[in-house]
Amino acid sequence: MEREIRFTLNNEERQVTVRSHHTFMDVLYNQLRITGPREVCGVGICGACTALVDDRPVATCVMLAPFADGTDVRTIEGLAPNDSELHPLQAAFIEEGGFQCGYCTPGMIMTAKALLDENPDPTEEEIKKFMEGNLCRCTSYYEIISAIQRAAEAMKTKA
Amino acid sequence: MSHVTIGLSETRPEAESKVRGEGVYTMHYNLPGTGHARLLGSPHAHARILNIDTSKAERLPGVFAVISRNDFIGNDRWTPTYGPVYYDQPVVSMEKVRYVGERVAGVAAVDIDTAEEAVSLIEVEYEEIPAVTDLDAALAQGAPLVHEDLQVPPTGFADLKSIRPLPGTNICNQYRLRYGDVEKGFEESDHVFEHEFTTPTTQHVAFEPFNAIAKIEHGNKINIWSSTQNPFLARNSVARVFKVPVGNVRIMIPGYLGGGFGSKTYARIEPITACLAWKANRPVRLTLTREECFLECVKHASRVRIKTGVTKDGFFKARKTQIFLDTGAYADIGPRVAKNCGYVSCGPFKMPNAWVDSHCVLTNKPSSGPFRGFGVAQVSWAYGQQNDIIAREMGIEPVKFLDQNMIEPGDEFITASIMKEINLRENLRLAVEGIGWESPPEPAAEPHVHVGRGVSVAIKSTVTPTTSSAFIKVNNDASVSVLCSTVDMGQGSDAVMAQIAAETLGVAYDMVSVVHPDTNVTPYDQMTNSAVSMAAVDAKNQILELASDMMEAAAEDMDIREGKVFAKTDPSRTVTVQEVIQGFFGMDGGNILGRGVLKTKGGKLDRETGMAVEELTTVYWFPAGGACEVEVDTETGEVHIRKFVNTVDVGSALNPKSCVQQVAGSSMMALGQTFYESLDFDNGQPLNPHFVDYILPSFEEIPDVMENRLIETPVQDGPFGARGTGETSITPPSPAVANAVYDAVGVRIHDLPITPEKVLRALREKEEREAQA
Repeated sequence: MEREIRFTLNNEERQVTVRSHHTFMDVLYNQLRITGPREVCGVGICGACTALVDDRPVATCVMLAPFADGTDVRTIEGLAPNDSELHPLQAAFIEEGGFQCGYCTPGMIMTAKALLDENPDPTEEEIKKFMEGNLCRCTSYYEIISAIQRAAEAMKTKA
Repeated sequence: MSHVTIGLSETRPEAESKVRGEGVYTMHYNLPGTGHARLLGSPHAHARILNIDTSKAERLPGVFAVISRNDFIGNDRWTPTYGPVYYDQPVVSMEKVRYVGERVAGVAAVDIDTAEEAVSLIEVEYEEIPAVTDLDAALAQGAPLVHEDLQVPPTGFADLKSIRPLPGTNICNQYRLRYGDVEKGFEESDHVFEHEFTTPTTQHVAFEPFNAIAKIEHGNKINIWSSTQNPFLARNSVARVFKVPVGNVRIMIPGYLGGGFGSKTYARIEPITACLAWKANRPVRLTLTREECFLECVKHASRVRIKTGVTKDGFFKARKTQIFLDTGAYADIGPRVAKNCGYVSCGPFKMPNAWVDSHCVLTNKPSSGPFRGFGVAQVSWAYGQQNDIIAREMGIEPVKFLDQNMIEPGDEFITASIMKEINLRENLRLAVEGIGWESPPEPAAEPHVHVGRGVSVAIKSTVTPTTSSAFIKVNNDASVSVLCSTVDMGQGSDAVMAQIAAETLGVAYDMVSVVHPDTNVTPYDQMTNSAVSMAAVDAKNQILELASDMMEAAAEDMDIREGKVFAKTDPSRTVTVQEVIQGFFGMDGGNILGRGVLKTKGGKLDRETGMAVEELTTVYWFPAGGACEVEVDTETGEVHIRKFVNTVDVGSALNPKSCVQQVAGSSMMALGQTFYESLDFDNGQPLNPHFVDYILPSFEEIPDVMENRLIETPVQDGPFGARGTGETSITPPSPAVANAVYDAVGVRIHDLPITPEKVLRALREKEEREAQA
């Protein structure tokens, strides 16, 4: 079955015809060629497909496409202010070596953004707890924790 | 002389693309008009195929091609099998299936939904036959054979000339080592210890799935964009299947890999994807599902029996090791894994007498291939714990025991090679120092939680002999392109290759770009090593030759720094590299071409004795140490790591940040293997090929503190003295943690992973034993 959905993607209005059994991840990549969210586990466990849907981190690989109708969606593509400037989280991930292969990174950063939006000054324990649903196979996670702390610091100074 | 870029933590050139979520992976590479493929997997572990009917699938609208054995039977256009050691791997199942999930057929269609529907329309008649789904069954007398006639190919890897399959059994290689007289060694020992240790099947779980796009051009030219770790090894297999010269097969990695860890090393899905594209007469993309990824290539499950004799002062006299590796349905590179883990099964210790039989055993399970550590994790799990057992039973402090037996440069290894370029005492010292070994640990707050410490050291060899080559292009504006075939799958090789080229040529790091692997463009490479620096030296020498007229100085009296050629006697006399090149060509164009070709020696071991035939066993070693402090909860069986210290000898830290990233990440992966990871099977049926029940470590499971210490003992055959870094720290964590658990609560876990259930059961058994005593 097909149906039409409308949503906002990184501040742009989108209208897409989707198959009802497809996931929002399918729509983002197969139909819209958005490369940030990536399907890795396909069962909502690893977080690599995370996008912010109405400001909340969502595993788009287990969200059926029709449920995106009427939502406000933000992916990593909509995070940096422009082509020459990075978001503090993106900069911090580079500085702290918070990625190696980089495949999980967009999802990781989007979850971290949700964390910092909710809690601008998280403790190490709070970071671990919030980020638990994002897996990384390359790093030791410490690098990512450091990156989130560094970004939190930078965003405080900026604010 | 101080370095300009070597030794600096230069930012990876791809860093910004990665944090912006750009589609820099093969997964994101697309061509117009591409068909999408799905595979039909075998439901049986071992069955004869009586018939395959694909007619319904072929008739489904939107289907472009179906490939099954029907395309290979009575067709001499294609060769049905390939493989890195034996030609045993079929493109699709031929006369029988050998594991659950084996690809029986493939479909390419207009979209995935249609391909999936077509797969469901393929009718296969099977006749099940007895399967051997674990080591015991496969090794039993009269066991059913996974392969009836395994033929050793006439050509292959130089280090596998001594391969020894045992006819009439499921053993596809038995590596033997006979050093000294092991029985005499046991007779002369004061104490003899004998144990058995096992490790389960696990999977690499690289996040980017196995994926490829194939497109056939006229004239049988085959183009494949793949997520492979080594395009040349995949190319050999595709050329064999299509019966074309290797030059007709072009395998490319358009950008980066989302992890590999060994799983993507040999031909995986390239042959079936190319066959589908050929038949569909259009580009075809195949992306494996996560479940299929779990079964595409796994790590060898192992059983290691280890018997060791020591003197009353705690010095090794003899060790006899029997290794059994479950290599699954197809040999893949298992025969080399058996060999390489065989000759390091005594670890980095002086062992006057050694005897090893290491078996690579075929079973009806998914194929085991290379996994970060290449077999060393399996044997170091055994010797790393047994060393600790011996030390404790003999009342010798474990660190002292390791230290007094440690092998040193100049000592003879058990392959009769002389050790060099190692400093394992330093690996050990720094590891235990990092944990504060000398002072007692802080007790836990709760009485049922006990604290313990453990340590382990290990060595791994590198592929020997091997070859590697690279080109350097110095462009007319003095920017530099590096052409090499090292695939950057997250290790940061693009940055390091650029650093090596920039340092050697005397240009800035950001003037260098690295061309991604393409078998028609970048030269052959089998391992990361000095070829890039050799090519850069070649290009530099040419530039200096060209500059000698302009500078009125001999080439050897000049050097290059910051893009300028200068006279060594008077550094103020300079000419830019750009001026030299443009001066020579007489225009703003042209380029200087440097080439580097390296062939390493050694690695050949005698077929009967395992002794090194030509001096070197390995061109260099990867030395590792690890120590930890753990808390064991005797009520829940849970083990929590307070601190883990890794010590890795990197030779020379070309990019210290990347080195530390590799060491830390490798160690974390090892902790996953230590506590959680096990791909389980019931009569050959995979039970947990998904993230729900195959557990990876998350943020919540990391040690309270991890410390990564680098040691720099330069090696002659690495660029600027460097050795590989990514695999080394995978080996010490499991035995170090097991030793710490014993130190804490007095129980030994012989079988990975160390789950709370196993710890609790061992504690209960210990209590029962003590109550009876």
